[in-house]
Amino acid sequence: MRKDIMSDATARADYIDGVKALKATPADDPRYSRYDWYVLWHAATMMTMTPPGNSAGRNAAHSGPAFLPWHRYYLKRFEAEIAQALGKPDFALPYWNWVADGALGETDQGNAPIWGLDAMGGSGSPVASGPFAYDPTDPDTWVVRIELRPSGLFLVERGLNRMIQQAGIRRLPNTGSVARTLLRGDYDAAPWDRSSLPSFRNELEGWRGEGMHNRVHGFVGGDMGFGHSPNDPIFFLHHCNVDRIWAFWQQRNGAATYLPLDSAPADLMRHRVSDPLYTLPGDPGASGAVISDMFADPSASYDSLSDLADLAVVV
Amino acid sequence: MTDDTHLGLPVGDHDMSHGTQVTSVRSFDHGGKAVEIAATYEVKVNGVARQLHFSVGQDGKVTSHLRPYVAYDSLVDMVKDIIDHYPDDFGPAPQGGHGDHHGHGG
Repeated sequence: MRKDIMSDATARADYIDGVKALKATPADDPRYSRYDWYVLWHAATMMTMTPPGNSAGRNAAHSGPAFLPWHRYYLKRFEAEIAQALGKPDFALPYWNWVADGALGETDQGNAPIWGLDAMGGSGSPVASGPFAYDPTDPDTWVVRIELRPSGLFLVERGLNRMIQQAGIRRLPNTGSVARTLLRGDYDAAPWDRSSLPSFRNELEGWRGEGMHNRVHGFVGGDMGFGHSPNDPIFFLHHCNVDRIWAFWQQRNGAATYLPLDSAPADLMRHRVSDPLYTLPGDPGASGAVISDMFADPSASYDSLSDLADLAVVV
Repeated sequence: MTDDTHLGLPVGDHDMSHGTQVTSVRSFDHGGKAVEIAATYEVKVNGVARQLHFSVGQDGKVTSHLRPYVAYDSLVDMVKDIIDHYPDDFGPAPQGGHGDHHGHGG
């Protein structure tokens, strides 16, 4: 069961231990870890334009319909690998309920418990407190290894950068914007990109409406603002909450209300309902998963959707 | 940063092999007329054409997977932001450089 990370100390400890265990597990390429492999996968997906050269900026997992199912697949793979690393088959990814933090005052949002020393730690370049603080003299310190730059993907060695409320975005999505997004009845719409309207996917991703997912990346700042954003372990907690919101929407609107269908044009490759979800070439865990594989039984994965149900009747 | 290792890219259908020129075609109907606005962009930094992985949307806003959660009002804003975040990726300024040319919208 996926739980609010701030409501369950065991879930919180398991998550921190789990990501550190993955960070200590070498990938097939021993220059980086299995955790870093997920950073690499996300960055490469970001660079995979669908179709190549499209002017809408749509890639295999962003600015298009596959945004939600691709990230669900990514979280499931990550969750399973942490469970294995911890030797806890029942491990479930927790989520950061930024909807609740978004109801706080502006100052309190930056000082919310999620940024405490016993949770994700605070800001810094590099982060200097909490479980992901950087100390070059400590062999077990949290080290960023993958960085996406204009000239490509690089192997680096540095601490994590995080600049909460310092990148021009001082507030998380407010409850009103979450409520308005939840009331969208259409999963997505032509032209299936960041201009789509009406589109639940596009509002939740944050290109339309009031920012939502994109706003949270900007609020955290630092590495979370780049294509290598999974370098910050808050990434997975953030996306788990995005997935929870989709799960609630599916519960209301039907699990398989995804669009576009397979009859859509070929330039929507990787975004049609039966298209394969992008993964790295040579991925040893590739399962041949397609978008529709991500529809089943979403709401049962979460400890609570009641806060979202309350919001969805307010507007 | 100079000691960092270029990993290459383990993907097959990425856009890194494309050139430095980006073509944008924006189409819409207005007053019963079909309108098409085509533009080709090339960004040079210190005189060197760079691939900054951007696209210009139908609304004229610019996005880049280098700053993937932001839509910029202009290409100028995007280029400045990317240079600010990756100063070492563009090399040192040339002797007698080009200066700062303002006012060219995206």
